Amino acid sequence: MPRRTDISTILVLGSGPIVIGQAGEFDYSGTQACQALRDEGYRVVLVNSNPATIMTDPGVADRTYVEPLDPETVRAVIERERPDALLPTLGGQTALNLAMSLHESGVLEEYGVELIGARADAIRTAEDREEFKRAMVDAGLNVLEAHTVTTVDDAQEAARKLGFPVILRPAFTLGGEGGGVATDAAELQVMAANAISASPIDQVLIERSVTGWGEFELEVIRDRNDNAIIICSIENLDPMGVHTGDSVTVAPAMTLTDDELQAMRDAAITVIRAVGVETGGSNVQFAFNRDTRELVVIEMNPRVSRSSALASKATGFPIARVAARLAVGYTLDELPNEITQVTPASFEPSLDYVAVKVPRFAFEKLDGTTGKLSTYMQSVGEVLAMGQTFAEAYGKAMGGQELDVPFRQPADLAEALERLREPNADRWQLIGWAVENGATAEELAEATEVHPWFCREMVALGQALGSVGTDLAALDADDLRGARRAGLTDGDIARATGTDELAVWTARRAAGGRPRLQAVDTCAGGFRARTPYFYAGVATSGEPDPAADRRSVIVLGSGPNRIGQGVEFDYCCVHAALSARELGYTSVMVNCNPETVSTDHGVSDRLYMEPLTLGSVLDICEREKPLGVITSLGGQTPLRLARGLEAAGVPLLGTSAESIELAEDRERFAALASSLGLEAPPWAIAHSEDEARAAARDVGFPVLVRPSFVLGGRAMAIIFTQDDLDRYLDLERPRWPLLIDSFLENAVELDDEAMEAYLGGDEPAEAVIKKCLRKAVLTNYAHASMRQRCECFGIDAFFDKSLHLNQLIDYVVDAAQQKSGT
Amino acid sequence: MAARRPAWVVLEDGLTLEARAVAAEGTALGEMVFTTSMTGYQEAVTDPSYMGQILTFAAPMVGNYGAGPGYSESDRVRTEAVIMARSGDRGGAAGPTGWNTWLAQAGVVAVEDVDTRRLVTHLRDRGAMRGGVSTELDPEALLERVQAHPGLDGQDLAAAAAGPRRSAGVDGPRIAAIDCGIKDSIVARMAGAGCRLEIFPPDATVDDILSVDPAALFCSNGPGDPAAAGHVISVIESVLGQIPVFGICMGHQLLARALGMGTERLPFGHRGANHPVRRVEDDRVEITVQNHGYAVSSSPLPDGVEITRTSLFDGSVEGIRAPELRAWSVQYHPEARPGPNDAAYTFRAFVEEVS
Repeated sequence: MPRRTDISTILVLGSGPIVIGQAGEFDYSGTQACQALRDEGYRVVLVNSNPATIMTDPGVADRTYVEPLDPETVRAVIERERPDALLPTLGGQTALNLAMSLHESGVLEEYGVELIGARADAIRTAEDREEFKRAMVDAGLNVLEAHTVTTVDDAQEAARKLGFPVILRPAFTLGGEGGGVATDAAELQVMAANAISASPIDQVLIERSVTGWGEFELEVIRDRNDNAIIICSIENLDPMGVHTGDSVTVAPAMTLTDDELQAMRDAAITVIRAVGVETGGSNVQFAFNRDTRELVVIEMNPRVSRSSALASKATGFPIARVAARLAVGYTLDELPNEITQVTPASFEPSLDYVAVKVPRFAFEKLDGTTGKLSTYMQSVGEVLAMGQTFAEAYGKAMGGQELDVPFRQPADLAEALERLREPNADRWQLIGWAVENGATAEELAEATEVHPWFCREMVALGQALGSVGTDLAALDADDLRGARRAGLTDGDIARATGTDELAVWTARRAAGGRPRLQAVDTCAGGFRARTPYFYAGVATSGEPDPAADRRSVIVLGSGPNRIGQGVEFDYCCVHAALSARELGYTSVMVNCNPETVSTDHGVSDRLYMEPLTLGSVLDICEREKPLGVITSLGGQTPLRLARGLEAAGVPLLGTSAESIELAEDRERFAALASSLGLEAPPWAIAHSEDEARAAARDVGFPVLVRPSFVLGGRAMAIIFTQDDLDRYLDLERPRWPLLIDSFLENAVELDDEAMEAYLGGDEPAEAVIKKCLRKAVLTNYAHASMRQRCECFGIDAFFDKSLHLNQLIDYVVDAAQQKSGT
Repeated sequence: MAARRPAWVVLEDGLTLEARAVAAEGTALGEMVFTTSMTGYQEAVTDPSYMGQILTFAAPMVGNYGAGPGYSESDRVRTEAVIMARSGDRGGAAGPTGWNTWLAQAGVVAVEDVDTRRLVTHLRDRGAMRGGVSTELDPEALLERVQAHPGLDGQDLAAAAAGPRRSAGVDGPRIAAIDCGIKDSIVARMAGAGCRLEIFPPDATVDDILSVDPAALFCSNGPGDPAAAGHVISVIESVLGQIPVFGICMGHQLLARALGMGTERLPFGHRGANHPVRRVEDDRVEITVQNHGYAVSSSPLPDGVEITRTSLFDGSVEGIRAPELRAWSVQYHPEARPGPNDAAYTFRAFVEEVS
């Protein structure tokens, strides 16, 4: 069937601000959808309240409204733009709920707007827990026994029937928000009240607990001709009881027999039909009891989800782009597979590699949290890595997490195994520790309920680490290759041998142990791939190296999202890649964050799904022989690599490592400020606890303390007394040196954006910069508070009160010129 | 299991890959083929259609869930040898026996640590060819053996692949089945759909077949070159028009030849569990399981024959029907195992058609 011609304007809803469980993946899916619909000739109207997104860039949609995602605003947009259709399935739960509200209030009917992708009844069937269960039972599928409740008393009654523990699942919430596992009546009393208030319709499902069962997901796509295909099977290493967003997951599923996998596949297709999702992608979750072989359907998302983004990146299949085209009437056999370009989209990707996702937590930034994992999502980011074995992918993914806080070391193996009984954010590090300290696969499986196959892989990884020894020089080419193949990263080998990553990389390179480029081609090599999407593997062969014409520009992405390093950096990286391409360079992206636009293989000329570690990036540089590498746009992650890259002789583009250090090294920056005669609060540098105490006294309390090279204020604190300082030093054990500033109370914080242009244009550089700056000051948010929030500090007030705009600009220009190395 | 010994994989054009033996010792020769199916390794190697072939798994890790009874498609391993990137040897959901151990017990030469992607892309780009795996010969000696090996073209392997005369199923229409190397799952699906199967070896005569008064003739999958199976083709020719005829895979090719169509070698075969096929009657797509190195030519198309299924990968013929003769067939494997069940309806449709 060709595309529909009875609709011309399509309204697309974005997902709004980034929250846990709804991050950049919906910018990725929404951008793909807008582009696909415009390519098909539709007029696209977009509403999204989050301006730090690619999808709200000019040119992505025909009309973009950066407006709140509430029914009144969207109604006004509908009234003005008169769309024929609304596509609600690509903006996460926010867009789905908003579309339902517009449907229920009659707005869509009033303006003749058709829901495409998923109709209201399908959304209701999938999202309303009770209707979903009924539909599943009618379709002959197993579901968990459960009761829908709207009061705490009913919740207690339901739990009495089911027996504790029970799972709470609020209806219509995101990332399982407000849900959890209640182990007794007292816990349920509190949790039920929370769950009821978390649900927009005050409805909660009290469900039989299958904690400990295996958890699996299938990504299904269906078209209006009722063709349904499975994009990917995903196995959760963490068993049921840990939200899939917080689980380590692997694609394809590793431990299922073909019969088991096909039973799941049949069930997933039955689910999408029973729910009635006409076109597009859905994610179906299953619990599987390995002993009894019981398979139950847990839930389905009638929309593109975080798992869809993961499945897209893990397989190369662009689910959102295909889903958008299916929504306007195409069928799967009519759409080409972008990667091979010779096969249709109606096939099921086949993998000849293993893709592993690990979650990135940020409990260290959240006071009073324990890191205990449950059925609601708490991780803030994720890392995807690929390898030719599970261990290789797992090792790479773990190494890409950039964990900057040491985990709490257990006293002995018994303590480690005891702690492993309760799923915690540090469980995979703890498993690594336990293995190094002699834990067997059986012990791990018993304590964690992780499938024994994975536990054996963990033990093998630990044994490989043990066999590396402590002397890097003693490792020959076979040892190094074997270590990599066993799943050890350069970082692991560096830690074991007491060296650094650069030393390991140099040794590996000298021994000829360079990994080869492997293509992500959706078809396990069955067809020649046209789209260059790669990972590095240790096989003896791989794709040919790119032409060494020094025309490629490598952009280093920002790695996993964390607090203080979110999609805004991805936005910068995407624009850098697009600009490099516009200027005639070959743009090359390196990133390991599957929730991003930058890891869409359409954004750059070549995409490497690789961890942002020195060894990985150097390997890519060896292959690419780039004109240079941009490290300044992906936040702290690539900045940390700048020195090492420069030391290895890789040319950096833009800001040099020297300039980065000048800005990031608090001591050097403070010295620069004073050399420029800029006023700065009294400050001091401390290299030890004693120096810190002395410095704080000299500067005078309150003080602001911060280590160098940190992100989003990690380990930064305002300290009012000597006692507070002692407590801080004791708890944080900050990296030295520490900058101690006098804390300016009742001051206003201003941000400025400066940019340096190459001299030689018609305008003097300073004029260009000033122009940019004025714009930056005008458009940037320019209010923040220090101790007490400044109330309503509008732009006009800002101009009146800041007074010294020109003086400020002169300062910034001066600082920029001083700092710039070029 | 003994320590893994070095081994070699050599192709007739000289491509030589290092390997490590994980099962039986020895030398195996055959046509090199690959499958992109990610599960069902035991089902694959016991599929009689793989006789005369050395099977390479494109999947990254094979043998994760062990091996055991209930996962075989025939009474023994049929591939000449097995090539893998990484293989497992622990028990799991399929049974307590490790995969490598199971292969060793079956006496099969199997290797791992092979750059399987290189092998797959090589075969993809240069087409099907002969090859060998050896734990005892050096690459030069192995290459000589490979080049002296006859290959598959012109080989009638049906007799070697087939089982004895037997019956299956309890009630429903009586179906005569010619066993060219029938998979157990086809027998099970047929019986499950409600028919009685009278299974004949491929040298059965028309009289043998008609003696059981069958409601229809079924011709199974099997290994080898369809052009070489002249006897089965002539049997099909004889019964066409008298009773309905249905064929799967090799059976489809033999029916096509009996109807006057040609068969040809595919450049590198279709082997995997993700092959999309378009159904002509309703324009729907089914994801099918495929395992064939030859295909039915789309021309000449004799009068009275329709193409009912086409591959969305390369447009090749995946199904035909001769309505007046009540004959039809599919190139792919509706019985799946390993792979998706999209086409499982085929067996019910068959039984309804002939009841």
